[in-house]
Amino acid sequence: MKAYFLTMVAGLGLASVAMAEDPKSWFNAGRETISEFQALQPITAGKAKRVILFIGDGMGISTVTAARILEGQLRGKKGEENFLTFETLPYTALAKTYNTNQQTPDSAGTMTAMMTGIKTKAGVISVDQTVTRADCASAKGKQLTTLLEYAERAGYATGVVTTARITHATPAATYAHVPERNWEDDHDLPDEAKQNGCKDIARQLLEFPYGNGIEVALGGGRRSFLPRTQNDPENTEKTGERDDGRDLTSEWIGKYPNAAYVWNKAQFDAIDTNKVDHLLGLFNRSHMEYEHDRPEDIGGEPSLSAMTEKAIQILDKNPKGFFLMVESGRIDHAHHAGNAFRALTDTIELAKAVKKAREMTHPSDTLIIVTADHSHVFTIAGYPTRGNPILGKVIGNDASGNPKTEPALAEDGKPYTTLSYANGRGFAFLETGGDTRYDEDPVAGRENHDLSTIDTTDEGFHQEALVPLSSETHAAEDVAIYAEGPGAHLLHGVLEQNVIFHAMWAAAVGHAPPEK
Amino acid sequence: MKFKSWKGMGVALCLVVLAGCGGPKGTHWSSVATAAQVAVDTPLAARYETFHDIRDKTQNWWYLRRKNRIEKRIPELGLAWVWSRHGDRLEMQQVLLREKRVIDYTTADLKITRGYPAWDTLTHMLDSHLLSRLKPSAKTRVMGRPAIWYKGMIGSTTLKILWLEDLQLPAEIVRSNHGQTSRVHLTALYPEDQAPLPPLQLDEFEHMDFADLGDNEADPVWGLFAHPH
Repeated sequence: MKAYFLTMVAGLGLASVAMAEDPKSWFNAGRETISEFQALQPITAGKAKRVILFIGDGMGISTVTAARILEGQLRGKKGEENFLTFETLPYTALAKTYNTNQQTPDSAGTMTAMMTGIKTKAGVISVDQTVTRADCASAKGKQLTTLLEYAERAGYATGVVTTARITHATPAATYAHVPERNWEDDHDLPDEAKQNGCKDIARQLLEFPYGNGIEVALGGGRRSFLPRTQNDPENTEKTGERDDGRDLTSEWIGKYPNAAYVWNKAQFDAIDTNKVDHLLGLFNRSHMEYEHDRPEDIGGEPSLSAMTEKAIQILDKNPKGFFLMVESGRIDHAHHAGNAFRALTDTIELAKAVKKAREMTHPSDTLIIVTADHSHVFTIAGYPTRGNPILGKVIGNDASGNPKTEPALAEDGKPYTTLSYANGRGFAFLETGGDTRYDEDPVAGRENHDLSTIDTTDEGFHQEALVPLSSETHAAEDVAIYAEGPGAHLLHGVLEQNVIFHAMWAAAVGHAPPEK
Repeated sequence: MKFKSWKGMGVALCLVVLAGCGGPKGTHWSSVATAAQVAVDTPLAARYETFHDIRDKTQNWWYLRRKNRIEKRIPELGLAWVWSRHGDRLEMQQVLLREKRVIDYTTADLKITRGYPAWDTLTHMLDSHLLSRLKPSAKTRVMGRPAIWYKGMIGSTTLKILWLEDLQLPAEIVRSNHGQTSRVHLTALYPEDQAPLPPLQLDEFEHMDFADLGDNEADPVWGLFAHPH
């Protein structure tokens, strides 16, 4: 939690990554790390020209740890010694994530806290805690200005990038204000909301009233932007979902000078960022694909790191600077489904996006924050030997401390995996293409299966869960904040999650926001 | 509410019984072409009855098949499942009929939650390799259509399947294992446009992506999907 700035762009702690593992090396690597810390100086002079907030949706600390190990093992290493790119940022803190009405939070309330500086209820988007969820009338006058809106007012460029729907809770909290996160298009609005003038989230993105409008919006959720009378360009047998007949994608092009709309990777790749000032990319009717499944997408989708790169290229044309929010939105979804494989591979892609952003900026004038909105009930357990496959079964050490060759057995005589969930759908091994299970009840515990012959590192493996629920749940423990750049030193210790807004504000403006 | 599954229904694919194939009623089927693929692509609606002797309970359900779309509906439970094929990709919709709600499963959702059934299995209600593991026996007719009995043992399970050759569908499946028997029995067959139960139109239903269920457990209806017990 030290608050210093490391002039090495590569970040902290790398001395220990490539070292030989012997007693002398451990000692010297630790010593070298502290020497680096002693050389750190917080960047207090000047303001952050660029502020980039990365969110791993549902990326609790156990997810970061497991992804770190998996990334290292995919490189042929043991894994534990690896660092994801963002883990080398020089400043870390912990965020308390609870919502004002919920011990274990949801993304709507947590992202509202980060974007407005004010905690609120679960399920509501950038409105305060006095509203009643899904009650439009109660939300009048309760809108909270977001950092993105402040940035636009001040003449900065702004962008929102996500692998979820662009109207999903986390991205929506940057630009929209609704008392119900599910009001993503006008078809979702109940009569009360229409009568009291609430606008759906997609419409709010198009009718964004501040500055010269959002410059970059990339993600999924195309259906909320197209009318029901219009076929989807990718899933041609389906249509948009708007009842009002509006095609918000064409409105985007008409609204802004030098605007472009793309819906597939080829179009995205062809964008000349020197010529396009406002880019809307909607690459799926709903959420974009998991990173592992992205190659199979019908129309083709860009990766999170590619979207991050393109966004920065466009936003960086503004000499004043920019604010960009980048979300890896499907870590959360994979956990809900009990599939650690995809949660971890999406986390690794988030790390690549952070790496890309760091390559394109400099910490002297760019604040980069990486954090999560909330955690999941995802655990790393047992006593696996060093380098044991993180997605594998626990193989421990013998009495001498050397690796065994056979998996450890539980009291029931069966092997178990290092990764598991406290609740959720439970064990399944779904072989793509050949499995005929469907709509089966959640499988609690492990009475009716044996992992002995199961390849638990396979993409189709679903970890065991203790409490049977059809959807694994969020968890309430703190999440980590990683930061570098001007103002990064402000993020240290254990913080309420809304403090992140105030740190970004102070970094960009040079002082705290005025008291309300 | 308790959700039943294709598999849980016993339908699943291979199981049920027919107490004597003496005669399902309601045969209004007369225009189906005989070529297997044409039959599979020709819209039909079939009513089945499932009986498990251990539960001593009968359940009626509908199977609606047309090109690239399979629907199973259990009216008395207010449940339905709609599978659709788009190129080589499958999607599925789980429907709460009374509440007019739908959970949409994308291809990726199916892969990570329920498996990815072979389209052939959905369109025939049977694994495509199952019949080849059984022995063909008596030929008969069901609702005026040619049918053949297949019988045999798979593991410890005794299977008897009465197979409608032109429609490539079972008229009856009897499965016995450890003293328990389940039966699936065809009770009516219609061209889709003459069926008393047309295919579901889900445009006006409220939809939710499976991926979003985890964020909506507070909703009492979506919670039914999330917590079936």
